[in-house]
Amino acid sequence: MDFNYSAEEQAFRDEVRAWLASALPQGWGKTVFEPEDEDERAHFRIEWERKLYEGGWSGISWPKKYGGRGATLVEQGIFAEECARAQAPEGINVIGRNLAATTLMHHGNEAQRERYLPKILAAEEIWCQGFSEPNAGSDLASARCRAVADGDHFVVNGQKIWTSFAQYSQWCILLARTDQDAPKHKGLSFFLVDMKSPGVTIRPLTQISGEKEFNETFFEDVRVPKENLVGELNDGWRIAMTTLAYERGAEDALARQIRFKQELDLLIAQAQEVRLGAQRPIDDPAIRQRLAQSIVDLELMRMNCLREFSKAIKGEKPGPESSLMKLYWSHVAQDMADMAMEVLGPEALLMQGDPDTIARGRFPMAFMQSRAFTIYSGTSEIQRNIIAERVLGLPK
Amino acid sequence: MNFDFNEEQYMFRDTVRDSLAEQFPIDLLRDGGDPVALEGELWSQLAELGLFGLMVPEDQGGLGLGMVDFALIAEEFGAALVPLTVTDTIAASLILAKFAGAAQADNLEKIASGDLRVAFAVYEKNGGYDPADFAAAIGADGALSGRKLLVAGADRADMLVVVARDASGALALYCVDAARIGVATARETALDITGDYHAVSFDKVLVSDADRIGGTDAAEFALDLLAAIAALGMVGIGGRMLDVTVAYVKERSQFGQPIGAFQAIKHRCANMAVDVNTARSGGYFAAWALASADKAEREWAVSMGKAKANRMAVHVMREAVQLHGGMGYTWEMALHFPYRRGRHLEVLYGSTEYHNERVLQATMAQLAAG
Repeated sequence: MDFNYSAEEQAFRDEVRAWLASALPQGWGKTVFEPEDEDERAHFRIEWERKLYEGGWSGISWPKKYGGRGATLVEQGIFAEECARAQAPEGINVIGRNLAATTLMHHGNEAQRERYLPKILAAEEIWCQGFSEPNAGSDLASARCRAVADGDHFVVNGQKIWTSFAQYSQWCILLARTDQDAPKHKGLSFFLVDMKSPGVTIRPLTQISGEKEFNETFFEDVRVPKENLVGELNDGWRIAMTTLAYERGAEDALARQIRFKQELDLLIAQAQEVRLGAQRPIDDPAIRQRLAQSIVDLELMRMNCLREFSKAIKGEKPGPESSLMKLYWSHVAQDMADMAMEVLGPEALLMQGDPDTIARGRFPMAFMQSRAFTIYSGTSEIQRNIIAERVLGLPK
Repeated sequence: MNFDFNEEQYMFRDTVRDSLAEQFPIDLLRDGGDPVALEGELWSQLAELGLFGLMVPEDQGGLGLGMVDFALIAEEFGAALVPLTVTDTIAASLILAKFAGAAQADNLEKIASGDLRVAFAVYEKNGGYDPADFAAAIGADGALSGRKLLVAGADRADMLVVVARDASGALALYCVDAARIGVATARETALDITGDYHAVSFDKVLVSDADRIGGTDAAEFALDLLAAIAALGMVGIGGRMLDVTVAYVKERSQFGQPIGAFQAIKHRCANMAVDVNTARSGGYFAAWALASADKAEREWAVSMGKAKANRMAVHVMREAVQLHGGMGYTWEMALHFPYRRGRHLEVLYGSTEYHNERVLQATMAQLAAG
């Protein structure tokens, strides 16, 4: 056990830091920020991902032959930390990198890996996730979207929902039913679907935050070449479990932790700036306790991630234990966002654009956005079922 | 960067776990066993395993290992309700080796062979948790006076490690021969009946320069060490309570099925598992920080580990009793033993609020330093 970084790791950190300083605009995070318009921001983030790729910073822990750097998860973690320190923009191709690519590395064939992985890294192709349906949310295995074999193709019909970034995506990982008669977990297959295919339409959904990140996606007689089937026919559920383990796992969580930590640091700074009459929030012992509890919770989120990284480096595969991570961080981050609303006084209610707002309205927006944490990639109730049944071995 | 233990550390843990499983004291305690007598039997068994010499330098007959090597053992000790006299003695070995070195070579050798019992005399009535508020002190006459509470096994300890002010008023750490004139112990009636606790009075007890382990640094390190060991002990208790509860709800049947098949039960077990897992991260990080970090990072890490372990233990133990239903409230089920020990560890070595405040101050200092 050693939390110190080796000389090589430190050198890597220095290199990342120097590159970020040169790649980000002058005054970034202080006077220069991301575009406020959501659509402009999305394109800004795609451009940023391409810049990262050109600089050689995409896929740090990926094998070199797919365009990665071939480095360790530790270096991947360092990179994420430095991006957060520099307040670098978030990427938009998270589903491509964290879900589609990791799933293809485990279950794809070599031709699929060679075709898709480099373009994911280059942010040439953005991905979305077609898992949930209006009637298959927590009960994902009951998905009804169908894929029927027809010569060299499958023909897909059905509807997906909560497809984040579909409007920017070239590709979709799709879970579709290929055997109507098999038990529900045994009749699903995992496909890669070109979003430009005739018959794909998307309809944006407005979230409680006012943003339109996610969509309904409709598939009407969409022809998907047979080579776009991942793994074996009707083995899609098992493959999707790999996808979900990554979606809920340490790599994803560490990147989030760093963003949350930035928010908490900002909150601690504001708690020393804002006045609640004669005193500042930081002078109130009750508020101090709440801030401290969030610090502890968030730092231990990082520790949980690092423990999982060390297991992964030893060769342990991600499994249902990732639900421990996701259940933990989603509540911790939600609690923090709630707390931020409660400690800064009346101005906490003012959103971005208002002249009296605090920290450009970050906290009320984070409060709204954080409602999703305990719902997406499996609700907390589903995570608890998974932990109880698959980690603790309680009866179904 | 590596947040995992090595194979040897896991193997040693397994050896200790197997050994303690044979003598798990809950059944014996429930049947009216005397914790002091149980400790006597355990002591020689642990000495045979070389546990007292774990952190004693090799020159003094120990294994020369460190706090990270002890972390998994401290967790097992917690799970098995090993008396705090054992962890106090092992903690003392690290402190003596680190701050007194050769001057304490004889005592270190005795600890390594299991021939010296140490008790920590730290907390005081009305003293709270902050050592700045402790009253015990060396007077102008050079003698130690004060009264300490909740000192484990003090009546048979050979050595007392005492947090007290020195003649200049600075916080310091002393080791005092327990047989010295002016030392008096009185058994306390405490919540935790898995061990015995004593009030210890120091009435103008003569202390020499050789009895001084170190100054403020040593005293603060000692408090952090005890807090981290307590956190790891709570992690052990939490893990054991989770296992015991999961086993029970798989067995216990109501409404025609195991109660563990009900989501109301499953979800509570899942929450317990999340809490234990996270407190474990905190406890291990605190152990590493004691071994390798500077003072600021050590205090931050230990307080995070202790604050989280406190909250976890309170939650997990409450759930363990609740999910056992009426049986959980019986003496016979014996859940109250770990519950008592858990609360002892939680309340004694710094409350959640105390450690939270330390975390906030350390974090603000980090942020101010950029």
